[in-house]
Amino acid sequence: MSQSSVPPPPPSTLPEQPSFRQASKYQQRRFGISWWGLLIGLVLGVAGGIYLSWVQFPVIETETRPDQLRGGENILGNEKVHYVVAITLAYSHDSDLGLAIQRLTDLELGNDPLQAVADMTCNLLNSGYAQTSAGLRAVRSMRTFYRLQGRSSCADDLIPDIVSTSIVEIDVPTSTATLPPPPSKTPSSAATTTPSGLVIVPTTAPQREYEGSVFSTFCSTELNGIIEVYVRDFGNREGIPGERVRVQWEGGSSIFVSGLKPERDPGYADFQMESGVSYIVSMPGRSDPIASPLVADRCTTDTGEEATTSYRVAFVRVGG
Amino acid sequence: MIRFLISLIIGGLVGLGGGLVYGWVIDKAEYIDSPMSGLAQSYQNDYTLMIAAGYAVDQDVDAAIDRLRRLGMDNVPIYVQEMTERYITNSGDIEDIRLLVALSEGLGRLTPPMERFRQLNPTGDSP
Repeated sequence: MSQSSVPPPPPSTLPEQPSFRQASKYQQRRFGISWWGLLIGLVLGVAGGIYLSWVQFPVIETETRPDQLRGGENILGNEKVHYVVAITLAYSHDSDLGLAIQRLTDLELGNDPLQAVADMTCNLLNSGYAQTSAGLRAVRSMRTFYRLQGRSSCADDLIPDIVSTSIVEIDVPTSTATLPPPPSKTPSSAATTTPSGLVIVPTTAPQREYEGSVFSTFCSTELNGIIEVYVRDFGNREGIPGERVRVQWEGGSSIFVSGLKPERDPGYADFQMESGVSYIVSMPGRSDPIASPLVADRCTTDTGEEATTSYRVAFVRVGG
Repeated sequence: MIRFLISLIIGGLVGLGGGLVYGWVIDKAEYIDSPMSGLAQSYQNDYTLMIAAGYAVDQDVDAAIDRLRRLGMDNVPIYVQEMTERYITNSGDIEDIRLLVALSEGLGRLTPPMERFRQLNPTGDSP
């Protein structure tokens, strides 16, 4: 009974009414934004921003690495070439091959940076860079560097070899005053000449503090494969101790000081070569390298024994 | 239409900002044709040391100045002097300091802090 007195709950919707009303175009909630417009704007904005930041107003580079330096065909405007010049100049001072290679690696010159140096030397030479003395020195330092590493380029033939002063031993007759001969009917020479000591005369005008040359080679089993170096003062009168002498070979170098064996000569120093290796001798910062490499070839002594060729080298001061 | 234009402008501004941040900060344009003057400081120091070493070999002041001008320095002697004194102050490598002192002296900029690093050659002359 009681159940019949309770009216049934009204249906949530009338059967003839839809469960929800489809909002019309004008009744939708308006977000105030067009997604298509936003998307197109974003794309255009990003493109414009990248264009401005990469092309129109790029960040001014102040942290350039050597590999980012200007390269190109114009050899004189090629900053990498000038960097290489600096590397080889430094190498001519310190002979630190590892450091030079590291610096060349920083430049990213390709698979064979040593050959790249050789090619640059050729291009520099053809550009007229070597017309100044400083340019010529720079090119020579490059040539010395790549040749020590076994590379070659057109510069090998185009650069005149360093003019080394070969020491020429000349007998200079000097007159010794004698009393005038008594008058006689037979004419005689006015003075007798006696040979004096050897005078060493440089054959070319000196340009460096010292000029070096090989003045003899010898073959001995006792002094086997030795480079004997004599550092001498102007006029070749006395040996000079305490001067640095450098010997370079492919893959290494050694610097030693004259005068460590004063019993031989105050300016004497020597270096033991390895058979078959070529060596370049110089006084760093004071002389050009001796033009021709000293090759430790096999030789036969007077007694028929096998040995390695030894060299005697002199660096003679060219100023008083 | 106005709604579209407003959205386009908002998107454009946001995109522009993003593009600039990307191009200036995240992925900067990388130069490949830079002048020597743009070298990082450490490489400029290294280059200067190489030139100083070259000067130690050839004693050619003019050549050293020409080579250092590539770094874009207005006054090469002052630049070398300041670098030398900086190396001395920061206890840099002694060989580097000696090279720089020699170059600075060659450029007429030998200052009192450099005096004790002057290298006399074994024959007693100044280099």
